[in-house]
Amino acid sequence: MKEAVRIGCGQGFWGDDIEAPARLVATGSLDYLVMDFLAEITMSILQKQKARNPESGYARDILPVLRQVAPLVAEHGTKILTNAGGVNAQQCGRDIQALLSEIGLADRLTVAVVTGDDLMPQLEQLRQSETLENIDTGAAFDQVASRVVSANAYIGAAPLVESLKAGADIVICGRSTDTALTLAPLMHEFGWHPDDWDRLAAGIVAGHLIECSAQVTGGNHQADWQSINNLDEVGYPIVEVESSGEFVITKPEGSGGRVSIATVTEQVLYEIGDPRHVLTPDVTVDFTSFTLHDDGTDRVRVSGARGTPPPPTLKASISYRDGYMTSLLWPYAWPDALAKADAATSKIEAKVKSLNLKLDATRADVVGVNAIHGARAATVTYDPPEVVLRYAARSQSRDAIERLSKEMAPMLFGPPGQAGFIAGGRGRVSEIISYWPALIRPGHVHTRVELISRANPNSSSAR
Amino acid sequence: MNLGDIAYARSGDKGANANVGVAVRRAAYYPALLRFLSAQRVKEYFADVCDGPVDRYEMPNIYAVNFVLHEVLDGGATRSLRLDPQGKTLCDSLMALALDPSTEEAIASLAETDNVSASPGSVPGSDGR
Repeated sequence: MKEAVRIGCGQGFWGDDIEAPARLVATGSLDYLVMDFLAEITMSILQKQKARNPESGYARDILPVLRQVAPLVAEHGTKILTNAGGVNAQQCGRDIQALLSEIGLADRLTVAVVTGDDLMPQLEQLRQSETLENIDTGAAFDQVASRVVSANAYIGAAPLVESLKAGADIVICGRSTDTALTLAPLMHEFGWHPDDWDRLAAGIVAGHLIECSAQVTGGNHQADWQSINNLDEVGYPIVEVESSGEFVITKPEGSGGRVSIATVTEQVLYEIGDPRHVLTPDVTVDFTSFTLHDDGTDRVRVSGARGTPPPPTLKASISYRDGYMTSLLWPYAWPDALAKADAATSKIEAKVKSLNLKLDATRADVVGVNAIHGARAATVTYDPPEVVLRYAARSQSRDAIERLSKEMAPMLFGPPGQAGFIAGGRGRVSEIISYWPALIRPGHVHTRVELISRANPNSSSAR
Repeated sequence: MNLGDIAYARSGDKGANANVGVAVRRAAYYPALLRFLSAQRVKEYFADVCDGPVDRYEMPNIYAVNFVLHEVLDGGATRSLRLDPQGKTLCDSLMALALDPSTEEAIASLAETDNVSASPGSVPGSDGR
């Protein structure tokens, strides 16, 4: 058994620095690399892609990432877990296998695909035995049933552990909890049992800290950002976890950014509700149980994590069509930039009225003045050099939003000093896909592990 | 003095709700933070944008308090018309909250005792940076 397992996170979200995984693998001496490509809304985007083209539906950025990273991981023996599979993990696995063949690694790396999280094929059946009511609002599923675009269960670590046990070097899944990507390697390496609540809790905390990548290593660091160096080469996070569950969070030596109690504290606090009951499919974690200690430069030790059994239900992430929106932007120059923005606001509001556009909500903000802090912003008593008026609207009617989007350019004949158009002369019309969180009993979800590409044990690589 | 002088925070979305987690810059400030930063104070501060209740959770293990602000994101990340639909800057808004006189006094006397300035950047447990 290893003394400590090193797990690094190379992608915190789809759109993260595409070269970060390669940098991390090259400098991090990792046992495992995890990468998160799925936000809530990503599943719906991928479902729409798959509906148009059955060979799509996964985060295609995984391919150029693996092209860079696969030779490094083959050399170091690093294993990869990622949710890049989206709603088509099998096609993702096949395309990865083809890529590995192309670069001569198909006989050195085993690829496993985990499926079963996608609930779309059984949605009608599911409705027979589950209410699928919205757990945030209590609303009934009937309200959105005809507009559903995607439905996935958040699966936990078990099928990922099974994949690793089966010898996978690269594990591709769809919707798992982000933290399961980190917990699974630990369960596999240390033989943690599914009811080892405190150790599982530690694994979840480790996963929570690294799942947003550089947001724990000095990125977005409110406490002390001005003193942080080299964020252009910010080191991505690594946890060194011991079999007890105790771990150190750090980053590659010499990389930019910082790991400190403050950077770690900020990430602990990110996107949590009741900290004593942080729910996952594998364990309920008490985020008030562990402590943070300095362990040297850019090293923080986390110990004392406690856990209790997981909830009896699984969270399902359902998305549905929910109208359209657009935002229009107009920059205005001094003098009287604020007064010009006000006049432009009146003009657009009058136009909306005279066109009788059916808008469900509208909002006007002055960027540079009140768009972020609203009523909390200090009153501006000077005449700003420039401001940007932002007018946003949403509607169930696509026509209304399309028509509104055409009002960006005509504002040129509104107040003077309009300094061109930010992002084009017409507002971008985007479809709103909203998120419907529901609970289902775990018995509805049957995960499956499939080995798509198998390393050849007789190949001449030193593994 | 503002909250940002004695604390730092991070915020993020949870559906149509957001959380703001606030931690003190020095462990010694924690009792004063707990006394001062009530759920009601946070609710009142964000009253114009927070349509639901505010829940408050103490996290003494990291000298922090976590707040969940319900219905503060105009429907949540994909529906919201806010410039910041995921509430990533709610933590910055909260740092502008003015401390009350008794909290300012408590902090000032702690600074005197420590003989250390209570300025931002003196983060508890930081390695001297």
